[in-house]
Amino acid sequence: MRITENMMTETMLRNLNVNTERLEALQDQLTSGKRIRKPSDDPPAVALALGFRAELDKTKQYVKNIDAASSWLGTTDSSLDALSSLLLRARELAVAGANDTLSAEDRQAMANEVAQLLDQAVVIGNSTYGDQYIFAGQKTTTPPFTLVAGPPEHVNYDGDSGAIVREIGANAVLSINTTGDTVFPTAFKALIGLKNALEASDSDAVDASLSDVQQACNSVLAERAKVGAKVNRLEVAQSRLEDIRINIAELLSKQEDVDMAEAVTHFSVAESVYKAALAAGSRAVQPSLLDYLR
Amino acid sequence: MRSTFFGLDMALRALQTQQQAIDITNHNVANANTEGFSRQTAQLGTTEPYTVPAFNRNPGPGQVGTGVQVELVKRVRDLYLDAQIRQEQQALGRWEATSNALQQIEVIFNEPSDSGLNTLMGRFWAAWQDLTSNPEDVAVRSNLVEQANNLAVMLRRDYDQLVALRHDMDQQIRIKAADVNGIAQQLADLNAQIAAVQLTGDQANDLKDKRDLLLDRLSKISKISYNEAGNGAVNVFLEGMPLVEGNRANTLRVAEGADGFARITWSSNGLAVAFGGGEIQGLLEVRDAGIPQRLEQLQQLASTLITQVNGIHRGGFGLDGSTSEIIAGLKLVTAGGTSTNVAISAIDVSGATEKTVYTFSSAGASQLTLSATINGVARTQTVSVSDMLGAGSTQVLDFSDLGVKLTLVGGGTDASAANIVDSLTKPATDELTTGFDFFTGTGANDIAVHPAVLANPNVVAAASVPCAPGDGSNALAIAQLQHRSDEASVTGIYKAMIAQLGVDGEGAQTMVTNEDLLVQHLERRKETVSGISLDEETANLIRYQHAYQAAARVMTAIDEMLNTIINGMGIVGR
Repeated sequence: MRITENMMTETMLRNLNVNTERLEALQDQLTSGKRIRKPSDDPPAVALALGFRAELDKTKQYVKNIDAASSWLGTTDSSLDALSSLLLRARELAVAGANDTLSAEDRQAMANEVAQLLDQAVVIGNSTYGDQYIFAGQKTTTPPFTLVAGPPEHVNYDGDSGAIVREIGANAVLSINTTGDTVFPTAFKALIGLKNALEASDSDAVDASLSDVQQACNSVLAERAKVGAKVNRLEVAQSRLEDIRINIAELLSKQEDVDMAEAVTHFSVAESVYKAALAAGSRAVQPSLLDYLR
Repeated sequence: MRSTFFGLDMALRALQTQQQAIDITNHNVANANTEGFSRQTAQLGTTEPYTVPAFNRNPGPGQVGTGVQVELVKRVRDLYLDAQIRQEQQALGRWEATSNALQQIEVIFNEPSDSGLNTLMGRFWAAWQDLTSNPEDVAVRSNLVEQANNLAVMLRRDYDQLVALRHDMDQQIRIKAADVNGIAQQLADLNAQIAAVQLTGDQANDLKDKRDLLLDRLSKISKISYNEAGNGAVNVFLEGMPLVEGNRANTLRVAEGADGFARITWSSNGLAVAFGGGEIQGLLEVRDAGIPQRLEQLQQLASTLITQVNGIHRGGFGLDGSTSEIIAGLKLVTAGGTSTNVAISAIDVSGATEKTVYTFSSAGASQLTLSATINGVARTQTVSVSDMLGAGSTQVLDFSDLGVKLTLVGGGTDASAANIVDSLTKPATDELTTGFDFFTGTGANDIAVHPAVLANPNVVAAASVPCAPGDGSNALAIAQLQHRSDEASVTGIYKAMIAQLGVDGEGAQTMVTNEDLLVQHLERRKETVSGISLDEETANLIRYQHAYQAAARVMTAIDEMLNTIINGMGIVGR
């Protein structure tokens, strides 16, 4: 085969080009840490990576939703806890007030304390999480409860029975709120009843309202159990999401990221080949017959 | 008997011939780096042998050689290799054009990255999730509007860039068509010159090299077929239609089509030109199929996004920023003190393309008046309050000529808890904002966040019922659109689109690599045949130089012999 000078130059240039291209690609991979930079680098991997990225975003959002929901439920639970202790105190007063030996003044003093408790209960009913009134149903921007002096004395509820929902997994929706019309009406009714009975110094009526207070206590406890169950569900969902997040991140990394050991090895090989090509080229293209003629 | 001066002529011819061979070597060396040059060789041959005329033959051997001459200046070229190279060149050109365009499209979409559409869509859905958690928070609403706006801007930008790329391809097609015309004219001119040279029996080697180079260039732009006529002229065809016939070039005409893109026709008969391959074919395919296909996918993506988001958004209710009080849902209190709740819901508000404020007011004790300006047309309708008092009683406010229908449901869900509620007093006049789109536009070219939403994020319909600032269920329904990944969903369309772009790009790149290798291999073989080897030329130079020196020596010898004859003979006894 005839080999001409131009062929040797061409061959050298082409091979140097191939080598620098490979070096550049590996350098890009090493410095960016990414194996795929554009869809044509590895189409199936890119399609998978897009899916994993979206899944990762969703998972992060669910974790965020769960965090917010847990805080909301925490606030609900502590508010219900406060309401529960308040009702226990009312029950003590009711038990004491039912005692026939008490004077009207004694009962009035007790009534005053119950009035305090009622005010307190309204404040609890208007508890907020951030700027949101948690017991107002979906009308979260207005205080749901107002005490109206009457007569007859009563508490207005301006909220509704709408559910506040959070998505804690794909299409898994949890209602996190306790609407004010579930536990509070019984409590208010019991407190107002007790207060009126004490003010009237009617020991039979006081005795009768004791069972209302007890019933209110029970319904608050029942609601707290529900809240507790929801918190449990959130905890389970959160730990599961954390596992999923790690798994997806790993899958994404497998598709997108460079295997450093492999890339560094390839880079060293490419580098040596490039150097060898330069050395060989510089020696092969130089001499010609002319160098040896005088 | 031979002539006395016979040898002198022979030596002279040898000198001239070696000189001519050295000239050819010189030409080769001079053109060692000239593109398209093929090496030439002096084909040496003996001149006619000489039989000495005599009545009775010489006793010696007959037919004396008379020396050397250059029979032919030969262009060393393998025409079969040329044909193969041109065949592969057109495939290479076509795939290079395709691959370049696909790479540019990949740059436009910029995936996978933290700034591509995939990421922006993810942020968009996440913003709806955040709105689900905090529907009453203006900062969250503003963030959603911001993310939606980013997404819309990015969709429009991608669309515009694809359109710009399509025009860029068109521009390149016009340039390539002009190139074809230029090359065709040069080929025709060279044909005329070559035919004239060949007519005299000479070899038009350098002109043919130039012509072959032009054919090589042309074959990269378009698929060509060609044949050489008896007079040395080459005829070139594009898919059977003559482009060059002898000394005449048939030009291409570039005219602007109705869509603003170039249409290439034959000047002679106005028929559309078929190229069948080459860069121009690749460019045409990208311009007329590759890019339009991506544009359509992007349109489909955007229109799906618009339709699906708007479809849910229309059914929801927003906040009113001015009073930060929730609107929609009324409590009617009659003069006699009877009260009822009225829930208002939209049956059809598709006609309302602008934000519509529905104002309710009491007209006397027993009348409720609804007024609204729908798309600039002011309307009023009145319902009797007594008709609304029964639970479940329904009144439809029908503006169907404007594409709007509302229903009022009387005695609906009582918003108050039974034991403790007195009354929910609302002003006699109330407003309801509902039923407009989140996005305007129909595709990626004109998608935008609705101006009403941009102006006031509180109108984003996060709630599915009126009067519920904490209700994020409508926002949730929109956020849940992202869970759909079938081919009719936004996520599905985009994923399929990027995957296809990747597959097409990879395929084109592989074809380019393969064709490039093939062309390189053939070019090497061509270089083996036609290329200049300086070692070889140097060796030839030495060979011819030595031959020249030897011939000169022969001439000197003959000169000496003649000297002997002329000056040294016949002087005996002088």
